[in-house]
Amino acid sequence: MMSDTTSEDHYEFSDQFDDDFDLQDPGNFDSDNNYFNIVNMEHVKASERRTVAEIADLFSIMVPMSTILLMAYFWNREKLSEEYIEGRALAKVGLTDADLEVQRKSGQKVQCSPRTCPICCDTYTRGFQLACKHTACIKCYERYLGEKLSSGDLLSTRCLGQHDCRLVATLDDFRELSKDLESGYLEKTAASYLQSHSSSFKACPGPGCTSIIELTSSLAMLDLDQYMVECSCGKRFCLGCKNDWHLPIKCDLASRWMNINGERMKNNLWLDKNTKPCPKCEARIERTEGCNHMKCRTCHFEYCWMCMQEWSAHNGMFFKCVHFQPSAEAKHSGRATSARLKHYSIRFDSNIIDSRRDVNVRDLTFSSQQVLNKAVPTLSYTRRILAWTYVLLFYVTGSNQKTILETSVSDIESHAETLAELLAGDEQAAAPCLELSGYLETRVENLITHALETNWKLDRNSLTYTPS
Amino acid sequence: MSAPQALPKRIVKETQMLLTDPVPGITAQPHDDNLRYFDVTVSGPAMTPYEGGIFKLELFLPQDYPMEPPRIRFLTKIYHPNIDRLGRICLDVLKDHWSPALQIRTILLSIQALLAAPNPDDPLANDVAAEWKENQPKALETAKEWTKQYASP
Ligand SMILES: [Zn+2]
Ligand SMILES: [Zn+2]
Ligand SMILES: [Zn+2]
Ligand SMILES: [Zn+2]
Ligand SMILES: [Zn+2]
Ligand SMILES: [Zn+2]
Repeated sequence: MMSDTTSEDHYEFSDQFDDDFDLQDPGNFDSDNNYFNIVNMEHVKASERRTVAEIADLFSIMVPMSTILLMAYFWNREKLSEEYIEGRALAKVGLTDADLEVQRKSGQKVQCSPRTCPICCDTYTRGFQLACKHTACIKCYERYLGEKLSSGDLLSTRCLGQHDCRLVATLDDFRELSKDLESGYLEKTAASYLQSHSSSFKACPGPGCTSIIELTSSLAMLDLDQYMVECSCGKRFCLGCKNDWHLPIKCDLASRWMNINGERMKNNLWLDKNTKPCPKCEARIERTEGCNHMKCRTCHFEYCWMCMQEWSAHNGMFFKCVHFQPSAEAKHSGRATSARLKHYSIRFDSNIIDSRRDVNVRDLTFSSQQVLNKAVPTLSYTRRILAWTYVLLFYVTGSNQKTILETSVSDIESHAETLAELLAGDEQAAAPCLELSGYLETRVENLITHALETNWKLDRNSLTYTPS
Repeated sequence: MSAPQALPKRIVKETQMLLTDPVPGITAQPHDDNLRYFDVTVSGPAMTPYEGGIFKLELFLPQDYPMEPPRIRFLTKIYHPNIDRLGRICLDVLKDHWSPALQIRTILLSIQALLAAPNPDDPLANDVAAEWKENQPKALETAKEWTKQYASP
């Protein structure tokens, strides 16, 4: 029997990320609850081995056969048990009860007097046979099972020795042949187990990361659209679609947005990350701080980084910048959607970039630990929420609810702006920073709730838009 | 163009067997310029609507044969629930149940058996399968007509 102690190979999320995460994602995780654990592949394999052992016990079959049957039923124990009792499960992998008895033994390498391999027709003296004792040359077996491994097809690894033999090569046979084939087999079965449990295991999409997010049953039942995690490698992603997290919108809209914007974001076609020409004198201006209120060093023009209009035109409010007004001629043409897309894309990109940049403020100015721990993550979180709120604004049609959302966005934008300016400033204005952070947290939380709970009417042109 | 590779021993042996010891009702002739490409004929089994017909097929042995199954397709039009308009065949041994221990000979026998025992529950040609299930006498009649029209020697 397998051991039940697996707690050593994972740790609770809250031990590691308590402080940070609580701020990053207010309202969606209660750090007292353990919604998920970050585990590694060994943990998944241990869980797989327990399942295999249980089924093997239940039907008094060998572990390798239990593995094959479970894979054939995509790890659905209940269905397998039901059909096994009804005598239908073995047929699913092309076996009979008699075959099952033969398969209790593993295959073996054999040394023999020269004979012709039925597969390659070469003469061989080193052969391999499954428990049926039908032999083929060892090279053919290694190649055949190697190819089965790379195609991931472990259910039809048939006997090579005789064309009407039904026996399948199991883990035991792979092990008899070579260490590599055995470990390859174990990798594949674990991958199959992981895939079949995709509602409770989420492999981290972080580059090079092998961690797996294991959801506890309470979270696995919920709508994952709204749950974002941070892996131990630092990657933050949506549990629903595994893309970068995208609150306050659902996976469907987020992936539509990425479909039409992913390429542009890679190439930065519309927004050179940190440099844009000044709208007045066209001097290249590099933005080093995270705020949108820009002053040109060449001509001293004050303007908004996002809409490139004169700063005073905003009248201290971001509403004008947030709200998109299509130009009269674009309004009734097919270009309207494209213009809308551009409007919201610029705001999306700019906030995404800022949400990354603001984190770097850490190293630059403030020494107050409290400010670093609270204001910086809050600002970064706020920017990200704003970015995805612009995506929502692109997709929804005009309504009172949309106007309310736009008002919140403009209020949050201007306060985030102020916070960014304070953080970039020289004086260590700790108290106002903390106060602003608290305000933003509340506002952002309300915005998320509003965005998620409103039954938005979506704009058909936006939904079906494809860039030409 | 890459240099032509030597034909694997397995294919040479199978080809010899097919030519010297042919299966009754089946012929398979490799092309002179491509020894992996075969012209195949299968005669319709007795007591079936395909009786009297000679059906032409093409068979190709991919680079990875016998790890990969042969590719095979009817060239003659045939009315059969497991064979579609393009001549593609729905047969488990050509897909999931392929084993390198099977041979061209065994595959062609399976195809002959499929003509004798159509399986409308696992159809490739859905319209034909529907007809087969709903109005079998009419389906058999159509199959017979097609045999006469397209597969007469
Ligand atoms: Zn061999
Ligand atoms: Zn065998
Ligand atoms: Zn990770
Ligand atoms: Zn998602
Ligand atoms: Zn200027
Ligand atoms: Zn603006």
